[in-house]
Parts: sequence; structure tokens; C-alpha cells
Amino acid sequence: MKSLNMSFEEKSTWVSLAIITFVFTGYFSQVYEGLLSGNLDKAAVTGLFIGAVIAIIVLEVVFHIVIAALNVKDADRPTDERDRLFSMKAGNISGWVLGIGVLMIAGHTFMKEPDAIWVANLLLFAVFVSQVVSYALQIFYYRRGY
Amino acid sequence: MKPAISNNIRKLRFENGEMTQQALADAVGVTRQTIFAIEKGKYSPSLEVAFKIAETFSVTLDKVFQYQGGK
Repeated sequence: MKSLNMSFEEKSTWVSLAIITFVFTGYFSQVYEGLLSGNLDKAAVTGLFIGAVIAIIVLEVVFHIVIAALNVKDADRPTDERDRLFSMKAGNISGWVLGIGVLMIAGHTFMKEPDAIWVANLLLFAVFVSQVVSYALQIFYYRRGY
Repeated sequence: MKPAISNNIRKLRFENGEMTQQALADAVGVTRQTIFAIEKGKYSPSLEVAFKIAETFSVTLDKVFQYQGGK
């Protein structure tokens, strides 16, 4: 990883992207199949969601401890202007992605009147996609330069 | 794409006792990777960091950074 000249923030972004993608891909595939087949009720979906949140927290803590232990000096340093600029630029675009997603879900809800459990998970999916876009853009800026 | 702003940071580090990227980064308050990105023309720093780099080498800003034109 050192040969790629990655800052601690970039490594942290890679870790977070991998974790959120891994956990929420599993969550959404289970929820989607479960809701379509009628095997999942509200309590079961809530349980899956809480499990996904706990998994993300645990994995984030464990993997950040690992990358901090491997990069003790870098981990102690605060973020700098380049990290903050990339985070803001990515956040600006991912904010649009989230906004468009929410508008589409609002339209779908108005037209089709889906169950609340579907609406909640569609909104969660929009948050997930916008967060993935944010992490991916930050990595893109780090790699390509800006 | 050629960067609009070129710089002499590598040369200036060499002329200042082969200063390391980490030492320069610590002096101006950014990460070593940011100094690396600036040197490679992959990141244009803020004015504040640009002035701090010039101050660290005790030279004026135009001795560190050169604007290559807007074309």
C-alpha cells in the first residue's frame, strides 16, 4: 500500500467503501428476496437492519485499528486541506445523487403507494448509493489528482 | 493533461539539504502524500500552503510555483 502513496485518509476511504458495499449488498439482497417472497415481516427486516448497522460499526472499528496500527504516524495526523477538498467535492455530487434518489422514491410512493417497509428500504438504498458514490469519488480524486 | 501550475519543490528540497517530503509536510501542516501530489502536479495547493512552502525554503512564491497559462 505504501508504494501507492496512500494517505491514511485514502486507506480509510477504501476500507469504508469495501465494508459498506459488502454489508449492504448482503442486507439488500436478503431484504429484496425476503419481501418479494413474503418470508420477511417488519420485525425481521428491522432485525436485519440492526445487524447490518452493528456489522458496519464492528468492521469499521476493527479495520481502522488495523490500518492505524500499520500506519501509526499517519493515523495520528489530522486531515489536511487536500483530504477536506476531496471530501467536500465528493459530498457535493453524492448529495445530488441522494436528492435525485429521494425525488424518484417520492414519485414512486405517490403513484404506486407501496408499503412503508418498501419505502423505508428504498430510502435506505438511496443513502447507500450516495455514500458509495461519495467514497468512490474521493478515491478517484486521490488516484487521478485534482 | 499538463498541469496549469508547475513547481520546483523537488529541486528546492534537494538544495535544502535533501529535505524529505515528510519534513516539508510537517513544516507546512499537510500530509506527505499531499506534498507528493503537489510535486507531481496532481494537486494545486491553497494559497496558504503555497506561501508556507515558499517560506520554508526562504524564497518568494514565484520561485516555487509557475503558472503555465490558461490555454
